Amino acid sequence: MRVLIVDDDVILANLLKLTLELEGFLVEVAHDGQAGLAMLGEAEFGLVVLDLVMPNVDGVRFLRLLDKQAGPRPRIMVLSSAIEGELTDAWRALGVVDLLRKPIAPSELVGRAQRILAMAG
Amino acid sequence: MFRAYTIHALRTGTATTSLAVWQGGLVLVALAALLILAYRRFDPKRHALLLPAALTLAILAISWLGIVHAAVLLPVTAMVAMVWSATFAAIVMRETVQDRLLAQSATQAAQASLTRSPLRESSRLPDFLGQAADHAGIERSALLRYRGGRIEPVAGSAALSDTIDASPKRLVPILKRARRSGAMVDASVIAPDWNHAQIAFLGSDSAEWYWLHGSVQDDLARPHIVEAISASARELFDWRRGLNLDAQRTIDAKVTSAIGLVAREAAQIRRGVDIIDTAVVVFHLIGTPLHANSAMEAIYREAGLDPYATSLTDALLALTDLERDRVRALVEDLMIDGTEMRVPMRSFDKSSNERLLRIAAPQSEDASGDRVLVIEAVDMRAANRMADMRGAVAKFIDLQLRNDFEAIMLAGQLAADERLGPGQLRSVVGQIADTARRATDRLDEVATLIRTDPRELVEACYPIDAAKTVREAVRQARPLAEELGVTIAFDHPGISGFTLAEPAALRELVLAMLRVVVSDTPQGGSVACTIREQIGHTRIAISGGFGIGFGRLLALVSNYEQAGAGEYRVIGEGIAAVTRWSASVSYWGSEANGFGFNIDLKGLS
Repeated sequence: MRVLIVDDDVILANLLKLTLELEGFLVEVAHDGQAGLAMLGEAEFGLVVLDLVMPNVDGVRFLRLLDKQAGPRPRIMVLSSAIEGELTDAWRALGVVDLLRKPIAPSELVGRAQRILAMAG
Repeated sequence: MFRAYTIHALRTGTATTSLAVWQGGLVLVALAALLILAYRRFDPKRHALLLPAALTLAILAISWLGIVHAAVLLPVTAMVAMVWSATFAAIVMRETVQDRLLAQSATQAAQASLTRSPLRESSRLPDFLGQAADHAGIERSALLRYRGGRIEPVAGSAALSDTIDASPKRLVPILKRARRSGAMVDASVIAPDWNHAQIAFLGSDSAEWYWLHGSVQDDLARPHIVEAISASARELFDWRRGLNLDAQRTIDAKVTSAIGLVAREAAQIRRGVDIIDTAVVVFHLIGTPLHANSAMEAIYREAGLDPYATSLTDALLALTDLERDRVRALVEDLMIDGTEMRVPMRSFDKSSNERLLRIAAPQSEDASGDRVLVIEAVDMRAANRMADMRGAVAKFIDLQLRNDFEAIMLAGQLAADERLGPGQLRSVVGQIADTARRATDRLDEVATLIRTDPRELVEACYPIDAAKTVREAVRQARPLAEELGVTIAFDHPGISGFTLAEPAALRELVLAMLRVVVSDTPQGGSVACTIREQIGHTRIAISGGFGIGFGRLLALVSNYEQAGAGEYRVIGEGIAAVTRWSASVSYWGSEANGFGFNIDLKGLS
C-alpha cells in the first residue's frame, strides 16, 4: 500500500506522512507537482494525496499532465483548502476519486485512504 | 447786475424794473424745482463743480436776456446762491444717507460673521477654550474677567474659582506682566495647585480677559498647541473689538473691520475646503458656486466646465447622467430636506467612472439659516481597493491558515497516539511549535494589511487576486482576437490570492501585451496566457505571434516615449511602474518563433 503525498507545505506533508505510516502505509512525499510526476514515473503508487495550490505545477495541471503520462494510473485523493462542493464529473474525469477539504481529522484521512485502496483491490 | 442795469439804461434810455417780490419768489421756486430734478438725474458729488457752474452761467445769460429784451431785472444773486447752496446740501444729504446704508451693511456683514464666531456670545468662549484645552491635553483651564480690581471666572469656569488665589497683591502684578508681554507668563502664585499654571492676556472690552491654564500633560510635545490656542483667542478678541459696532468709531473703520473679518473668514473657508483630500465644490443655496478646491477644479476641467461660472444644476447635468427633471427634483429635495444623496459620476476618463458624487445640504448649526450645498466627488478606487484587499486577505486566511490549522490538528492528535516513539513525539511537538509560529507571522502580516489606510493604496501595490485581474484583461482582449481570427488560451490554476500589484495598472499592462501579441499572430493561430504561482512570486506569461526579433522588440519597448499612445507605450510605462511593486518584466522574441512577455509579481508568504 504505497501512498504518494504531493503537497508544498513541508510540515503538513510530513505530518500526513506520519499519520499514514502509523497505520501501516508506505508513504513518500513530493513538495510540488513536477516532483510528484517524476516520482510516479519511477515507481508505482496505489494512492496519491494531492494538494491543489502549489508552485510550479499546481494540482489541476498535475492531473492533466498525469493523464498524458504512461504507466499505471494511481487513485487520486484531493486534499486542499481551495475546494468546495462535491466530487463532480469534472473531477472524476481528471481521475479524482475523493475530495477532502482541509482541515481533516487523521482518522478520517486514514479511513478514506483505506477505503479507496480496498476498492482498488 | 446793478452795473448792467445802469449801463443798459444809459445806453438805450429805457427804464428796467426789478420783479415784484411774488414774481421773484416764483422764479426761485421754479429754480428749486429744476435743481431737485437735476440732482435726481445727476450725482451732486460727481458733478459738484460742473452742474452749479453751468447753472450759474445759464442764470447770468437768462438775466441778461431779461434786461435786454424784457427790461426785467431777475433776482440773480439769490438764484446763484440757491444753486450753490442746493448743490452743497444735496452732497451732504447724499453722504449722510450713504453713510447710514454703509453702516447698516457693515453691521449685517459683521453680525453674519459673528454668528459663526465662538465669540458671538461671551458665554461660548469658556466652552471654546475649555474644549481646545482639553484637546491639547491641558487638565485645568479657566477664562478670567478682570474688572474693577476684581477677577472673576466667567461661566463654565466657576468651579475652578476655589483653587485660584485672587488677592490683589498677588494677582495685579501678574496680570500687568501678562498684559505687557502679550505672551504666557508664570501664574503659579495665584494657582499653586494647577501644575505650573500660566496666564495669557486675551484682550479687553469693558473688562480685561485672561486665560489661566495648567501645564499640558506632555510638556515637550505640545506647548506650541497651547500657544496657538492663546494666540487664536487673542485674535478672536481683536476681531470682536474691531467689530464693536456700538463703539464711537468712524464708519470707515467699522467697514474696514467688517470687510477684513468677512474676507478673512472667506479665506478660512477656502483654506478649509482646499485641505479636504477629496474633490469638493461648495454652492450657495441658490446654486451659485462659492468655491471649488483644486481637485474639483481638475474634474471641472475634464468636463470642460468653468467652476465659477457653472450653476449647481448645470454642474450636476454635466457631471452625472441625470436628466434635467431629475436634477431639479434632486436639488429641490436637498434644499427642503437638507439630506444628502449619492449619484454615480459620469465617466470622463478611464478612472472617473469609479467616482460617486455625494451631494449634501448640511443643516446650519445655528439659527442664521445659512445653508450651502456641497458636491464631493468620492473616489471609489480606494474603497474598491480596500474591498479587494479584504477579499484577498480573507482568501489568504482561508487557504493558508487552513494548512496551519490542519497541521496543528494533525500534530495534536498524533502527539496523543501511544504508538509514537520518543523521537517521533519530539518531532511532532516541534512541528506544532513551528506551525503556530508560522500562523502567527501570517496573522501579523494580515493585521498590518488590514490596518493600511485605503487612501495609501491608490498608487501603491497591495495583495490582489492576480488571476482575476488577468482574466479581466483576457476578456477585454478577446474582441480584437476574434476580429483577427486568433484564440487566446488562458490557463489559470489555483492561486493563493496573495500577490502584490496594483490591479488597474496590471490589467492595462497585461491587456497591452495581449493586444501586441494577438496583433502579430496569424489568423487561426493561438496566444497563450498563463498565470502560475511559484515560490515567492507569481508569473504571468503571454506568448504567441509570428515573432519579432529581440533587438526590434527591445527598441520598441525601451523607446516607448516615442511610441505615441499605442500598446508599446503602455507596456513601457507599465514596466517602469511594476518596479514599484517589487515586480519585474522580461520579454523575448525571434522572427518566425513568436515572442512573449513574463511579468513576475512578488508573492506574500
